[in-house]
Amino acid sequence: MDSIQHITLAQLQGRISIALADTLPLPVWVSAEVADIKINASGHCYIELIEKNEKTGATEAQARATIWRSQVMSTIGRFEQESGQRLAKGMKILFKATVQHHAVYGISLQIQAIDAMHTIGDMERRRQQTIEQLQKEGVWDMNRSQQMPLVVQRVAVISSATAAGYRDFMKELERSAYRIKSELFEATMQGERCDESIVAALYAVAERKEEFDAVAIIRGGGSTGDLECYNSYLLSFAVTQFPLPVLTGIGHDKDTSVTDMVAHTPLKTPTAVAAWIDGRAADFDGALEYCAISLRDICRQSTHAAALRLEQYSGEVRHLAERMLQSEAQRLEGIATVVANFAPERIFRLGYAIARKEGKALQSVEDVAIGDSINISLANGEIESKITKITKS
Amino acid sequence: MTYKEAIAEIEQILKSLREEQNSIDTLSERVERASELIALCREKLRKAENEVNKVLED
Repeated sequence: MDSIQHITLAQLQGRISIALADTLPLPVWVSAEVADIKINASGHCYIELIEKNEKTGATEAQARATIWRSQVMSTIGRFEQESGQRLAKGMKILFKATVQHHAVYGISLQIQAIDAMHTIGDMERRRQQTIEQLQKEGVWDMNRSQQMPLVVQRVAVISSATAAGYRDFMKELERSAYRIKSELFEATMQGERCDESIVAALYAVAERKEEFDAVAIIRGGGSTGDLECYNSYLLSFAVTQFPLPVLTGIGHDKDTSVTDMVAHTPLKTPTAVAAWIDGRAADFDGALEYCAISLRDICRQSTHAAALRLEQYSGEVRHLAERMLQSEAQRLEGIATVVANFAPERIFRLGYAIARKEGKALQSVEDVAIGDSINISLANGEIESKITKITKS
Repeated sequence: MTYKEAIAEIEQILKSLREEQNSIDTLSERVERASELIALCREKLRKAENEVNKVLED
């Protein structure tokens, strides 16, 4: 039976362990994608690592990794603090690991550190890809180019029903002096494939778009990380194409997500979105009030100007009439004086007399001859006389 | 007669008063007409003002 030379399974495993330890310098830095991540009841973290073909998506390598409870804080905790992201499924990571071979459990990796910069860089690269693609397709400004109604009275809200952010939003909206109608369209707002959930909610709103003035995508404040799906092409593209203006309150303070960049009006938090809606209504109210005041002022100014003009005309009529009467009176005075100067009484008073021959006033010595009878008029009577001598001067 | 027509006629009368120096014959007639028109305009203006105030109060 034992004719063929052999070793036992345990011996083989032992040899593999030795070969591994001899040939692979450890620890080693490895890049891979997180396919799954679990922390069990005892606090140890188990990660499924995967490497896919970039073109086909086919799995090219796979391995299990462990982070012992004692190292969870120093690796995962530190990574999440530095990257601002929760270590999650789908993330590309670069980690330092040792490789152990166990006779029963096979090969497993022990992760000692995860480089935050690598993940940030990968996410940033994908974010840039989304931005470039949307710009190349010419859809970048499409949502922004829509007309935001002067007052947003009916808003469709995309949120998780239980999120603190949604409660904040509703509380702020209820404080508004204006009646603003909102309706919730539920979606998963974080975690894997949340972009698909939000897009589905967007579709549901779009089907009833006539019933709303705008849509608000809001997410609980405070939670960092997991912004990945807000940089996804699927969600960002849906926002650019949305038939209503999109408001965002995704509640993060680090990077602006692509969804924020393509939204009509991006705001920091759900509370800020509600306050913006209230503020817009207040602005419009204020503008109406201003119009009313302006209308009153313009009316008053124009009636006041008309009244002034009437006063001015009335004064002018009086003034012109008086002036005309006065100037006519002066003219008459002048004429009267001239006429008075020619009156015979004045001539007699100055010592002159009027000599007449046959009733006609004499103007030349040639009008008379010696022996002619002439009549001389004076102030108090007349003299009949005869010409006795004529001397021509 | 509208306010506009009345104002136009008042302005016409003022023009004649300014330019025709010696037309005493029609002076009193023109002054009377102008005064009449001014009174008419004042009345119209007062009415319009009251109406506007009433509308704006609402």
